[in-house]
Formats: sequence, structure tokens, C-alpha cells
Amino acid sequence: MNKYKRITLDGLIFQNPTLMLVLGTCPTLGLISSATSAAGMGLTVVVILTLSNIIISALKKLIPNEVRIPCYIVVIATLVTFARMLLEKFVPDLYDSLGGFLALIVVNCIILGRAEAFANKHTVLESAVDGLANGLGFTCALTVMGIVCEFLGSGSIFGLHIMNFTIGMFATPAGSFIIYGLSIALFTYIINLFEQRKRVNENRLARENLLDKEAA
Amino acid sequence: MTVKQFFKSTAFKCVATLMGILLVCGVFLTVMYGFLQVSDEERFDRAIQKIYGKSVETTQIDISEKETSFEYSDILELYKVEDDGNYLVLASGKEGFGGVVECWVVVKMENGAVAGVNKISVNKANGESYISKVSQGALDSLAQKADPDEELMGGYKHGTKEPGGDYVQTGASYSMRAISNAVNGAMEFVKAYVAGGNNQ
Repeated sequence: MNKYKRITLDGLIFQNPTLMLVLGTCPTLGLISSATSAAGMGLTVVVILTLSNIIISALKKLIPNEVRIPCYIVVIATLVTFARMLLEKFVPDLYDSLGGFLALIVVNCIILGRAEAFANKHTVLESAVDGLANGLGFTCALTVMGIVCEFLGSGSIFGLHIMNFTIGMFATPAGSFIIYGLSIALFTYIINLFEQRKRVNENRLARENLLDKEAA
Repeated sequence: MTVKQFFKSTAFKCVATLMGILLVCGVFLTVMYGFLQVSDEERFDRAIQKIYGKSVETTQIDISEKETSFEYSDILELYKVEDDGNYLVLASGKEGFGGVVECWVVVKMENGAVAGVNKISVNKANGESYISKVSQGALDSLAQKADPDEELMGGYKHGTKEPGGDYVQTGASYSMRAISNAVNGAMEFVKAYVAGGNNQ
């Protein structure tokens, strides 16, 4: 399989940072009660993660191993501060809705994790693809859970009122926790099912090849 | 260790790299801050737009000589809204979730006396992680509860605790308490210093 396709699929699905690796839990639990906030946080993380992966990958030969973590933190903190300035200036409503969680992106394990596990060992292009894929994986997971929580908790989707019946708990972090747990269970079940079928198909093909060889 | 050995050592490389990255990042952020900083005027215009949905004429009132500090709140700025005769107060409420919540409070005036609160809008809330959970609906509901004769108690009208209110479901009880304190302070200030305490 093409390595970029592999990196993309890993970030989006097979090693999805939120649902498979259970990283970035703090903003997930704090923000998925609103689909708009969840999508906004996700897109901000996409930009910061991609840029931090690119910069760290480009600087990997310059940064001594002993101070790599402080250097990564400085780079990530700079990008987060820059993103905060941009959002406050041009998208103040989103800036307000993200609240303190925006500043907390600095310590988001996904960003530091990808810098440490991937960007400092791979090329700039591979790191950019990895950052984009993981960021989008995070965004998709947050947005889908945000839609479910907002629908159940507030009877609306992206602020658009749909129904009057609501379950108040789903507008709170407790409800977000339940939705998060159920999403992890469902996602893991689907991935396991997919991998099981893939293994069955591979075994069947191997058996058919063996039988063909024996027949020949 | 000689000077030459020091400059070739890993320790020097580490310090130099870290300082270099800090310097570049610092310069970058300083330059960007120059372009992207939100001025106080811009913040005020945004607040007016958020509260009224349009531009309104306001006159700032000098409160430097007044007593602006209350037990649970501080008054930062005061404006007279020329269009409707109400007062727009920037007040900060204490007892939040580790932080201070700054709110714009439109104090409603009727016959020269404070009659309640028309609108509340959060201006700044450093350190209040859950402030984003306080919806405008919850703030509007709080504004309706505001009574010039009774202080709001942590988001509730005094003596009428109503379980299941908007903000209870959000988990932002501490932030709501700070907002309530800011609203109480704003009404108290306008009553005592601007409307001369005439509240009948």
C-alpha cells in the first residue's frame, strides 16, 4: 500500500487519536456538548497539528535529543498563541465558545504525541500528511459526537433547533463522557469486525492458492 | 574544561538551540501581536453589536472619583446609552471558578430609577473553563430575574431557588455565581451613584 495512503488511513481510522488511542480527552469531554464548538476545536487542531509536524520535522536535525521536548512545547505554544490571536481577531464567537480549552491545545497529547512519535523520525511531507490525517480524524470524531450530544442534550444540531424533547444530562460533561465511551466501543467493534473479515478473506485466498498449487 | 570545549559541548548546543527557538518564536509572536491585537475600542464595538445588534450612541461617564469596589464585584466602566436612556456597565464579578468574570450589564432605567436589567453579555473570563457553557439564553433568563430590590444569589433570584434552570445543566455554577455578582454590583452602582439611590 502507498505509504501516504497508509499514513492517512491510520490517522483517520485505524489509529484515530480520539477513538482508538484515546488521546485529547480533555477537549473532547469539555466541548462535545456543542457540535459547533467541537468542529471549531477540531479544525483549529488540524491547523496547529499540521504546522507543528511540518516545523518539527524540518528542525529535527537541528534540535539536540536532550532538549527536544522543551523545543516542541515552545513551537506548539507559539502556534497555539498565534491561532488564538487569529480567532480572537477574526472569529470572536468561536473564540468565546472554545473558552479556556483553546489555550489547553498546548498540552494536547495528540500534538505532542505526533511530534514525538512521528514528526521527528519522518520527512516533512510525510509529517504534514500525518498531521492532516490525525487532525481530521480528531475533527471527525469530535464533530460526530458533538452532533449526537447536542441533538440529545439541546434538541438542536449546529445551533439549528430540531426538537423540543431533550435529555439535559447530555448537555453536561457527564453526558459527553457516556457518548464518548459508547463511541469508542462502537468504533472499536466496527474496526475489529473489519479486520476479522479482512483476515478471513486473506486466509481464504491463501487456502485457495494452496489448493491450486496442490492441484497443479 | 576549556572555552573551546565548552562551545563544542552538548550542553551549549542544547542551550543555544532552545534560546534560538525561543527568540524566533518570541519575535514572531511580537510582530503578529502588532497586527492582530484587539483594541479596547474594537472590544467595546463588538459588545455593543452583540447586545443591541446595531451601533448605538453612548457617552462614557467618569467614575474615577466614585467608589467602584464592592464585596463581590468591581465596576470598571460606565456608559450612558443615549438611544434608550439606560446605563451600560462593565462590571467584574468575584467568586468564579478561580477567575474573575467581566460582564457588560445593561441596567434598565424607568422614571429615573433602576428598574432591572435588560441584557447581560460576558466580556472576558480568564480562567473560567466552563464559561462557554453559559448560553445567551441563560444570561437572558438571569437578566429577567434581576430585581433592583433583591440581590441575585448564584444565578437565582433571592429566596427562589429554581432547580433545573438553564445554567445548572451546563455545570458552570461557579461562573454563573460570578456573573450574578457582577450584575448585583452593576445595579447597586447605578442605584447609588448615578440614579441617586432613588429606586421607588
